[in-house]
Amino acid sequence: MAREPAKIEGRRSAEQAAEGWRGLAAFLSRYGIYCAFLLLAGLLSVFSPPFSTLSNVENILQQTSVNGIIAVGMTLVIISGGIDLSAGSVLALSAVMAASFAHPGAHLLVVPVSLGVLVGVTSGTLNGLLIAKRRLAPFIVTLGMMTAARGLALVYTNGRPVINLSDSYNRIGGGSAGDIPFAALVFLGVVLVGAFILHYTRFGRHVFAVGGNELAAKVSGINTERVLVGVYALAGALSGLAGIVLSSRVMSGSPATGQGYELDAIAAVVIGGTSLSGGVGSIGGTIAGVFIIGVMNNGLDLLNVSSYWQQIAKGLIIILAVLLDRKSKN
Amino acid sequence: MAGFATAATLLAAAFVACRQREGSGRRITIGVSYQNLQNEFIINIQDAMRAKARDLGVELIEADGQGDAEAQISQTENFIARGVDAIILNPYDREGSAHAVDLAVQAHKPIVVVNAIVSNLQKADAYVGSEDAAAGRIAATRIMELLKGRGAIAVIHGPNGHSAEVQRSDGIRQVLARFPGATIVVEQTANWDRAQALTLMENWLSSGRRIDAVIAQNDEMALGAYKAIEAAGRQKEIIVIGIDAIPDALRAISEGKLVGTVFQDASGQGALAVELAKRLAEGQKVKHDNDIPFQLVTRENLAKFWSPK
Repeated sequence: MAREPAKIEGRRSAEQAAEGWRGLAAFLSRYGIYCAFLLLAGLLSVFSPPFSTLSNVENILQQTSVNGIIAVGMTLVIISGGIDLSAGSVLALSAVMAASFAHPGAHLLVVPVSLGVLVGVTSGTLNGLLIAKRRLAPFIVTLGMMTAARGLALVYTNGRPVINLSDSYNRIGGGSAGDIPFAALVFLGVVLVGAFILHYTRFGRHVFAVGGNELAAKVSGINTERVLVGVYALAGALSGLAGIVLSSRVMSGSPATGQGYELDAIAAVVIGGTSLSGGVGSIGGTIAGVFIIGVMNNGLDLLNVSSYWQQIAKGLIIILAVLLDRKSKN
Repeated sequence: MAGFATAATLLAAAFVACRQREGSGRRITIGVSYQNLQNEFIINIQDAMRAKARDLGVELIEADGQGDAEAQISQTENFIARGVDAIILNPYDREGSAHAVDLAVQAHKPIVVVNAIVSNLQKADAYVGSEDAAAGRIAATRIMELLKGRGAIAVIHGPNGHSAEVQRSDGIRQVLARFPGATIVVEQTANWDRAQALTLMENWLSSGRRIDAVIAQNDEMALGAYKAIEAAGRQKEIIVIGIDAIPDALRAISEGKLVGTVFQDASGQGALAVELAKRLAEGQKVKHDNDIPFQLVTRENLAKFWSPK
């Protein structure tokens, strides 16, 4: 008789404990990526004091901008159910074409900048049209564009980097407003615009819908073709913009640049919680992914860890992120 | 339908093959496999080869290894199958590209190795190049002169295993070993890439380590590293040297940014390779080792290599 109240109390505290764990799991699955980032940054500050200096933070902002700009476009593409393997090559093509119009005293700054973005938009639109109208797989189309754009960049420059660029052009990717690099400001602008489009416009909702179930989206009246073309065109424009930022930072437009950048962008997007099967994701998550990769590269460089180990670490983080994402879905 | 397509393809291939065999009867054909035509220096070699081929009236069949040793082996196999008279190999990977030489030897095709070495170099008919270890030695010696034999050195490497990277590293170490006051405090690869070197240098500067000089194994990386040093305002404290003598680097030397570079005579290498290949194809014997020396370029002798445009 005296046993029962204790048993009921025991059960209640067990339920409370279970609820506590569920709450923690829910919190982690939503904000886990940000917690991971803070943990990583914290650990690095402890092991390497120079990590948390202002100038190092500036460096990190500078170093993550190019990947970040591409990753915003990649987020929309992946949410729409596709992928863009051409980002790095389009970046190079835009970079060399823009740089060739950026010699000192040659043209107003607006010429190379708009040309670079235009080259990106055109490539992206071409991707989108082939994917939307011809019903070709995004992987194949953007793979073709990746190879063709790189070839075009090499043909345009005869294989040599475009050098001797004007100071005003170089300032785009290399200059700062006080302590904040211009490149980071461009990145911020892209993030704000991207987040607004994705989360606060009808177009953005359509992107999610198309990614979730293209047929259902079409049946419910969404012009899926326009959504897809728009998404790839935007991604192309951002690759072009990234090309301008990169070439101005290194003061040369090289046709060999940007190789593998699409994979870094995809890694950032995936780490940030966007699913490769489409329909789910957020710009905020991508930004966390971008910074996790950037902070890790920066911190490991400071600790003089070889770049080969850095590559292993990056791979492990990607796998870990996908595993956690899979777990939280179940 | 598929049958028709196959037959048509086979007929076309046979037609092309016949044309080529006719061709090699009239003009000497030389198959060239470049290590990577996305590299400006290799393009200089290509230009020189093309010019020489035009002069000598030989036909070049060119292939781009695109930084992949296995591709170079396939390209060599294709050259042999096509019946070229000689092969020129510009190897990407010291170990990986070596098999191409074996294939040529087995097929009794003369093969000239140019610009970079392979592990089985002795089996080739001739080698034209500059000893990359010498480039490393020249760069390191210059830095030791300027630092008076002591200091903290940072080394930025090319891609690991790349023929030039391995040898330049050897050369740098050989020289630095002679100066007990000099130590390599950090080193890492930036894969010949300017942007990678920039990021790497930025992070090294952030780490607070003392660095007196940067030896970059090519000019692109040297320029990237310099950009980071300049952005941090420390160009008076840290000197930078590169290798290759590309135009951008020569300009940087004229502006007092880089303290030097090492000139590799791409034209000389390319031209001599074609000449030797032609002679081998005609049955002549040639000298095996043909070394074209590297030259240090500094502000003092800059005019010999570059003039402002």
